[in-house]
Amino acid sequence: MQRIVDFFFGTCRLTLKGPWPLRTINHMSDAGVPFWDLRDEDGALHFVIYRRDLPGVKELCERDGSVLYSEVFGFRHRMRGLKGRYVLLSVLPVVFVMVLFLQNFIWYLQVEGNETLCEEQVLQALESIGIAPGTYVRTIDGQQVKNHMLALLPELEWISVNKHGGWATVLVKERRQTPEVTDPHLISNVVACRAGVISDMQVYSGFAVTEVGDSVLQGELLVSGLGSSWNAVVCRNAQADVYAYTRHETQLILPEESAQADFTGEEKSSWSLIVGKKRWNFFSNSGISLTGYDKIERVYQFALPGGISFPISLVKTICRTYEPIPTLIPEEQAKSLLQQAEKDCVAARLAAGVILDTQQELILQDGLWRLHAVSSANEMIAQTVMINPWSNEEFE
Amino acid sequence: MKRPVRMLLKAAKAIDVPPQLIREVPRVTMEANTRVFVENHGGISSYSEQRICIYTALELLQIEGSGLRIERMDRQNIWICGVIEQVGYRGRD
Repeated sequence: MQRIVDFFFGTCRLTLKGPWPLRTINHMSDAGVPFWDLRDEDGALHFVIYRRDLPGVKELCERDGSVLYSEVFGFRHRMRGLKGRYVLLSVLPVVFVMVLFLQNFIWYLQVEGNETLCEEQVLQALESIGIAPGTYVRTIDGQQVKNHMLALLPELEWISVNKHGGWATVLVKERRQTPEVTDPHLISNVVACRAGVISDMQVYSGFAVTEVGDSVLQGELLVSGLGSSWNAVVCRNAQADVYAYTRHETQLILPEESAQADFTGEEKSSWSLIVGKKRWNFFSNSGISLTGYDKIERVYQFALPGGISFPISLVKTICRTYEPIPTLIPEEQAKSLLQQAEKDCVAARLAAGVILDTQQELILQDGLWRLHAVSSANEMIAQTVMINPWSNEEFE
Repeated sequence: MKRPVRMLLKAAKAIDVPPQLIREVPRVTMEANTRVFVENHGGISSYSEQRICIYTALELLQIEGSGLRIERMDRQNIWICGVIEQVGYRGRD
């Protein structure tokens, strides 16, 4: 405690040399100057006094003919570097107050424990119940957050928001998905969802009514859930993997002429500041009179070196003007564009399987590139359909 | 004005008054053999790690030992620490 007091009052370690240093010590004592840690080393007296007594001690030393060397310690001495730095001195209390004030708000949200849910989903749900960067910490009630979040995100089993100053960690535990159990008492058929020639067939349950090499139409029965054993009808939940060679016919068109952007070189840039969800534009005239322009935004996010980003970002918006110029698409380019589109289109139709072969024909007709493609694929065509053997419709 | 302390002490003894009532009487308090607290001192006569002599109203207070050091000193009190072997009064030189 004494050390803390000494630090704030400020102390001086003095070295006293002279013919009668003890006389000076006695004079100091008579003058009521407290001192401590007196040592006699190398023919000189070393001791410590309060900084405020230094001028008086200097005067006494001069009177007694002693030489004094002083070394100053303490708070004021430490803070002497701030002398004359008025900007720093004025900013320091502001920073101090800001640190005290800003820690009452959440500035960074971190989600932990999520596996299937993405962080954005959790953050959006939190935002919808009023927890986002800028939220006052004391308004967050853990139990209410939990209740609302579990209602909003059924995938969650448990959630907790831990606050550490301006930092909030959202701990989530996702509900364990129970595997889907097939009810063995259901009765179903497996039918073809597309016409084709069966290439492979794996029947897990039910009675196969087709075999490999058979050609089937869309909706045709492949595996039946109803069968007979002796004189009884057996009902099954038919399950099978059936692959078939199928044929996909596709027509795609592309305009022969398209507008290409020809940049004029004119460029207009502006700056904005985004704090949380609020955006401030640092320009008065935000209107762009040009008809065609590309808008490019460069976002500079404020972040700490560790990777923690603040909800503050500086955005530079660049508008580059261009003139749309009609340009003819060359055949090669049109072909590659349409081929890729056709491939994506067929791949999207397949539930499972591969595209085996594609035959394409590209023609230019009435200002349009037309691609006629025929693809053959080996794909899964099995589709499970529930049936009710007791309904009249099925038995008619 | 300097008061005649010796005479006052004799008078106090005669009328059976405790000498502590006389303001100038030095008071020495010793804590084990590591610390001495001297009240009502009159300054330091000599100072070394082996011996410290202190002026008092009566006689010269002599403290002997090893590693002696004045821990703190103000107008009335002196705190001395170190290994104290002997504390006594001796006539002024």
